[in-house]
Amino acid sequence: MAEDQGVNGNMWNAEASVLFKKVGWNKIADANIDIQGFDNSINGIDTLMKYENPTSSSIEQGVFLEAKRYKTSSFQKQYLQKWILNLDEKIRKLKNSETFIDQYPEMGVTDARNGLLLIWFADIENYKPKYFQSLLDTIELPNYRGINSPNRIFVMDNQQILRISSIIDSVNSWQTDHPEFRFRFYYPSFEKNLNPIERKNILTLEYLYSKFIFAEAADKNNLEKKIVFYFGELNIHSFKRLKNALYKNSFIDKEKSLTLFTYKRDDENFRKIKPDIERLFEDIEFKMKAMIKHADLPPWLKNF
Amino acid sequence: MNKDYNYPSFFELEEVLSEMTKKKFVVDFAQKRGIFMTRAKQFEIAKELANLFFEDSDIEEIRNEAYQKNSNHTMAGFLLKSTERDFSLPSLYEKIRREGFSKEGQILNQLIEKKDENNNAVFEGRMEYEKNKIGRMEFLQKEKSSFDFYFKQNDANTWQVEVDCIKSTDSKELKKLLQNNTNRGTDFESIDQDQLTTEQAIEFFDELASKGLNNDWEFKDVKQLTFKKGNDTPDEEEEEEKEVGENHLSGIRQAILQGIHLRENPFVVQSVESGYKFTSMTYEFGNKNEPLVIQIKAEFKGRPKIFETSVVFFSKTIGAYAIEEEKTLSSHEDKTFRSLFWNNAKKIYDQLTKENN
Repeated sequence: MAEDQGVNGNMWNAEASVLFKKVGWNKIADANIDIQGFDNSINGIDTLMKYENPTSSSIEQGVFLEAKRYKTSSFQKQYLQKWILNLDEKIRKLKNSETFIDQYPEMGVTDARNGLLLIWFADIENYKPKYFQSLLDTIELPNYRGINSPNRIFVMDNQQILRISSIIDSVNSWQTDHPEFRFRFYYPSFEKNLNPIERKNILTLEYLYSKFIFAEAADKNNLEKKIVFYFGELNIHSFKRLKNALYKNSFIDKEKSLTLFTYKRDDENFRKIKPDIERLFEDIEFKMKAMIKHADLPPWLKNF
Repeated sequence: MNKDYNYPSFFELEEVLSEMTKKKFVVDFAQKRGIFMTRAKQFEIAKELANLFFEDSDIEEIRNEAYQKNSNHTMAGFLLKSTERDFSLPSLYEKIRREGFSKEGQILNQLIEKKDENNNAVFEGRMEYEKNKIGRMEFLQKEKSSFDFYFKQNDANTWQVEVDCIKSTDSKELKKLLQNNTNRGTDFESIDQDQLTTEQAIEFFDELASKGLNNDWEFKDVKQLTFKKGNDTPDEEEEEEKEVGENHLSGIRQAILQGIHLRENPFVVQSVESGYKFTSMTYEFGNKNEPLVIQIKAEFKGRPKIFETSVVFFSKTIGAYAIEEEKTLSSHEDKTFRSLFWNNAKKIYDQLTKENN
């Protein structure tokens, strides 16, 4: 069978919600549910989740999660287009459906316009990130007419799934090494929201799709450490740009050490420029570390 | 010029993505990253994207797109013919840089050597300069400009200089700098309208329709044509300009498509007899192998009237319903088309002016 339905499909569904629970999301509904839309259509949904949005105190984000598990040999590019459009259509029908809101009132009070399509290619030895990347470019969204109520559909494949796993493990590892410190992700103030700075153990969709994530850790004496997880290129231009972003968000502080975790690997070239990068941050206590990187789903996800 | 590593604010990102780039770019930018906004207007997608944190290459991608869309680049050029044996223009340039022979306010960047498609060396440089302009509060204020340029050797004594102009003063600035630092015997040759007779100017524009681009492209249409009157006035502003209307344009288009010389076109004949000179023409070319269309403007501008080329429009027809979609060329692609057109124009110009010598 093309899609790994049945045991494997259900298992991946369950694994997907475990992954997001570990980044602070809450599961609202069990897997594989059929819900009536506002037009009385029946819509199958894998999982409903929500998370608190640290940059906006007023409303949580509701997410319709669809988990797909495939072998690369049986995946066809038209599936991606179909899944995205189908998920969007389901959200459109459900988010304003009385039946849906009655059945899942927790979703009813969220900004329920988010779809997350989580695709795991199980034959990792055949998976090619560039191929999947090229498929994203080919998706054509229709010209919508009528009521303008945008949805956000996020697509993740092996690369992003492993990246999230890496963040989780790198945080856990750091926390183990620094038990006296309390680690949290750091959300700066956004002028448009006038939100105060927040520190939470939640990763928003915006952070999951960003090239760097701010974090902080404090001990009981309020000694703070600044931490940044960086997923971009390892060249001097990128680090200069990153430094400017850190500077503007008050992450360059003579009294607070900064640990920069890098995700990408380019050992040969990186070794050459590492002294230059360290010189960029020579005014503060600065350390660089490599994030834990996974080639496959980590054991804690497979054996939950 | 030093690269700016400033990380843009949320508002700057939002503004650039919603006002200074096309919706297609913003949609593609999001999609490539796995983000699909359905039923969203451009400003809504821009707002969502502005909430993300980007790396340097993402910021540059946005900046390049906005820059290309919002600045009007033209290509102007000239030939430098020296009397010195084995003259090296890059060496002269480096000497000017090193010994400070440039004017105040001018900054000359290090040359970068690259190879063109024929594996010949091309030297790429950038120049910054200041020009006075009337200020809002001050009487005169300095305005900074910068542009890229390219040196290519044609033979032992001849170098070709191409200038990627944003302002019409750009190529003059570089030419003057080089003129001030070369000996009197050095010749600077441009495509100068004053060197063409009226008939030759018509022939020049006529030939560009078939020879302006390479064999992958064929002439489709004339989108714009301008005549100017007033050869003797030193002031470009005082020249009388005549923009040709669609009824005459269609006649000219037909003439070119049928291979009839423009000098036989009644409207052209009448304009010339009234003292007008051909000064600019915008050509539309279609690619023979792919569903691509390009519009290139060829214009004599300034005093003296120097030839410049610019890409006005580029599109690709896509999908089962053959929808034509305007595309923004990368700065390299844009420059390549302008340069090709300018170089082909130079060949036509050289052929025509050979008759005058």
